[in-house]
Amino acid sequence: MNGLKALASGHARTARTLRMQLLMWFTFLLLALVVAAPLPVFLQHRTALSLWADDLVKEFDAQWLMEAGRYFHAQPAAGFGFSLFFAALLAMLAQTFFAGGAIRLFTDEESRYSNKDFFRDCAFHFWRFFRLLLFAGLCYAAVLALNAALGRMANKLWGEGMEARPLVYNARFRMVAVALLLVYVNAAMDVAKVRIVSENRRSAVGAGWWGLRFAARRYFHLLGLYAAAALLAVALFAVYRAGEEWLPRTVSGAFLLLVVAQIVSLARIRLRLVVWAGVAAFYDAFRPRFRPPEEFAMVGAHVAPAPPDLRTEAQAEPPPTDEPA
Amino acid sequence: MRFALLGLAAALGVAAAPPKNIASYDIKARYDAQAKTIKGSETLTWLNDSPDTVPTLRFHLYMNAFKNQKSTFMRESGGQLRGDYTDGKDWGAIDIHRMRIGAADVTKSIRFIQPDDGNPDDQTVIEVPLPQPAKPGSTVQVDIDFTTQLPRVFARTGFHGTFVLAGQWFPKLGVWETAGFRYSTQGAWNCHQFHANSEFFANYGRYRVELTVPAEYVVGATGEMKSKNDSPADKTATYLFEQDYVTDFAWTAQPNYIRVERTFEADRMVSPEEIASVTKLHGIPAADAKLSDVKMILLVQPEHARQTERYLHALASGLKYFGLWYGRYPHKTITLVDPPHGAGGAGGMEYPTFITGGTSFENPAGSQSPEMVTVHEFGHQFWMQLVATNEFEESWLDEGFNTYSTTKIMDLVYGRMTMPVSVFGVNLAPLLGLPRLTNSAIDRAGYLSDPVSDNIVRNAWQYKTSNSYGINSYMKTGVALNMLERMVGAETMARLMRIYHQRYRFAHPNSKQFQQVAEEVSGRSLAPFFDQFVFGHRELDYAVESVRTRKLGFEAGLFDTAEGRKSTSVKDAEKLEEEKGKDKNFKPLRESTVTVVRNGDAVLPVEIEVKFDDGSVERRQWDGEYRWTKLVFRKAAEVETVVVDPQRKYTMDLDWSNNSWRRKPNNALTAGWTTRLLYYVQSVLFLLGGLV
Repeated sequence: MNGLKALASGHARTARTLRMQLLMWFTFLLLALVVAAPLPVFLQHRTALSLWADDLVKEFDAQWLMEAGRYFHAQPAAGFGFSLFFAALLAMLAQTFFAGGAIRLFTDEESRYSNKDFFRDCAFHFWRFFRLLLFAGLCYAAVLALNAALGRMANKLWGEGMEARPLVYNARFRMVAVALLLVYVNAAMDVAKVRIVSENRRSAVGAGWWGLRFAARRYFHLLGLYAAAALLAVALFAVYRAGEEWLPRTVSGAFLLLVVAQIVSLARIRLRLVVWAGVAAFYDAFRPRFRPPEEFAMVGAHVAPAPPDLRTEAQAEPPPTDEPA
Repeated sequence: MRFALLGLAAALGVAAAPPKNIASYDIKARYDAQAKTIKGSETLTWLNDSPDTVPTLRFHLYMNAFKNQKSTFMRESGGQLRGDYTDGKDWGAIDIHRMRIGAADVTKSIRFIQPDDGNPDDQTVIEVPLPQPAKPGSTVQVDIDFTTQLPRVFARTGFHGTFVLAGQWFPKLGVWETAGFRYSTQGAWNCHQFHANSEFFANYGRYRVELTVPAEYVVGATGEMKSKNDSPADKTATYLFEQDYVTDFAWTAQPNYIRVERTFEADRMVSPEEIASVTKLHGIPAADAKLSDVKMILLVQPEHARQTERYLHALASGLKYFGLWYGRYPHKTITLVDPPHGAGGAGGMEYPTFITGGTSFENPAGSQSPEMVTVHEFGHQFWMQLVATNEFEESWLDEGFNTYSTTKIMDLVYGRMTMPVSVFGVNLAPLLGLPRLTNSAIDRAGYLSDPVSDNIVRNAWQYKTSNSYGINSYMKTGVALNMLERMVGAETMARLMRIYHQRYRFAHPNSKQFQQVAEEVSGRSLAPFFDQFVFGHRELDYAVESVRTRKLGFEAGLFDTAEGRKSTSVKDAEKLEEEKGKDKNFKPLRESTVTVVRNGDAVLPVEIEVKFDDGSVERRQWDGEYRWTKLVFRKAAEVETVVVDPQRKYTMDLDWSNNSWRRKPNNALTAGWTTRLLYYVQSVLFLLGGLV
């Protein structure tokens, strides 16, 4: 299985999860609204009744920002930053919560979405995933620390020099390396989630380590999946930007842009789910299978169980099986 | 017409000061590339051009600012200037080994003085008594042997690797100001200590500098290079540079500079139409408007070689527009230095005929960074060098005037600036839809960040903060001059700036003299502008506070008419109005009251424009004296819009949002921006959520 096949498989596995996608989209929309909601109040109060609004509709003006900042003593900026921070925290928790229900659906191709099952699975896996989130945080921090260390080393080597070229190339190398490592950690944590759900593992940290090893062994397969998803995300952004550029700067234009933006956002949610489902497909394809011991198989091949004696009306016993009860 | 005549009269009255070399230097210097020292011997010839008998001399020893942390410069700056830090290891200093005045050795009578702050540890100014007081019109010759230890590049000067930029590197005489010269009421030396927030002030002079450096070094300096003699014996080369009528001398050297030389061909770069428009505007002959050829020398870092054309185009733009607007650049050369990585402290600086730019590796096109700094530093040739103002005391006359001029050129030649969001050398700003900004908008945004902390005119080291020094000296002045331009008209402004420049070319004017020229050329008193915004720090903010409209119906009560006293009940009046209202053509009379307020303490007459929904427009002048004014209109039309200062003359108004009012809010703004913000917040949340 390669990245594109995983993406296709992920796409197929997420095909009948529209309700779940809408639920997640709506959650993120609510969080974003909390952050963005003060803006219309602020604009209506301060600028909408000014003729300057006509110019600002056409293009943003740094002077307006400075005026507004001065007028409000920069408090809105602080408030915005604060609410964005908390919304981001809640978004991470929400994603952690939804992951359990979503991945359960993707690991069992036969199951269908139902609110009851979904929320049950979300709740069932939440604390495991929360511990995994903390573990992931450590891994991300390690990547960033490595980046900082490489930066410091580069500065020691070339910082005193008369050329910026080595530093710039080093920064570019680090940018690529960090991106690849972030993908690695992200993929490993996704694999860990799939393992936790599909094998009902309790140890998030154990699953995390296992995910790191799994992702390391099949890094380039996984990279294909994440790179394809990233390209699709860029394409979605391009769709939004096209709307931003071409739609008229009117109220109806803004409404159309809102529609475009939300369709794009919904597609982004779907894309994330496709990645989870794709990782589940990878897991199915590459996970180590349980192989019964050889002699057991041989015994099974040569010694057939005796058929029940129906004439004496004895109770039938079920045949031994590998499948768990 | 009246103003035009006055402007013409003023133009005819232009009397450019004849250039005079007051303090001339003949210097022999040798650069030791290992020790980073310059050993020099200097002969200063000073002409006492005043009617005073002068008993002492005062010199700047600028390099001692970097001697230790006790200097005034280091105390004020904390070892940091414009984001550049001293490394705390490679200090700078200058030592005078011997000083002779005529035949007398005065070395032992040198004493450090601290005229600005009394800091006994500051050694940036010395005073030495003259053996014989200098009589009016006499010349004094001073021979000085000195050694300068260069710091690692910091605050414009120093070394970095094999790069060296020597600025403020030799003992330099202060300026004797006689009574009536600038603000002086009696003769005295103007020789300030080196401060963190200040540049320089000096007399004009003739500089002849012989500079010996290791043979492999490529050298650039103030003035024209007259000769180069190689000395294979000690593997050095000696360069001779000369320049008349300049206020300073700086030089640079680095072995691997790429030296590019190109001629600014005036006849090719400037069209006859452009010359014609200058002659017409200023009423001067074409010969006076024409520019001259200039040798442009660029010393660029190998890793910036691809930006050579950007540098040279910007330099040529500066030569062209500064020349057309204020008068031709009179020198034969201009040298532009591109400092290497790690020597940013030496970038963005100006010396006579010698400027330093600054860029970064693979700087994306559209960022305007090497262009802006080049145009700006070149502009100092006009506002620091050709008109040599005192940057210690009136930095706005140089930095601010130059910001105003630079902004005009940048907006004219390069248009809006793209924010540099570079990934792998590709600027993503256009793809991300980031706004493109004009330089004038950036100036105003900078001004708004701290608009009234200080007067524009103030001693550079006495502003409230270093930030306030920067804003007042650069952006606020740029905005203020832009406002002055809008107040007097663009053509009048162009004339007054040229006349000011021409009148004080090779002179040392002050702010009052600029005001005088501005008033003379515009033909009006500009005291309200200068007093409130240049010599004061008033807040300018006009606002439309409210617009109230009420219908004037048939009112109830007792009314005396020709037929006698008539009584109308409230009920009858309402009924009558209701009946009239059924007629579609009936438009009830309305009384609209527009309240305009002055929020700030600055008072300027202002125009108020009121537009009605029947298309009619009313314009009123308000003197702004009282805190508010009410305009009452009785018309059968409703007020559609109100604008205070509709032509946006007052660019120093702190809040343009409240300068206008519209009956119907612009919901497209609210809807559009909220939609965008919502999307981008969602994207951030997805991104962070995606990490989980």
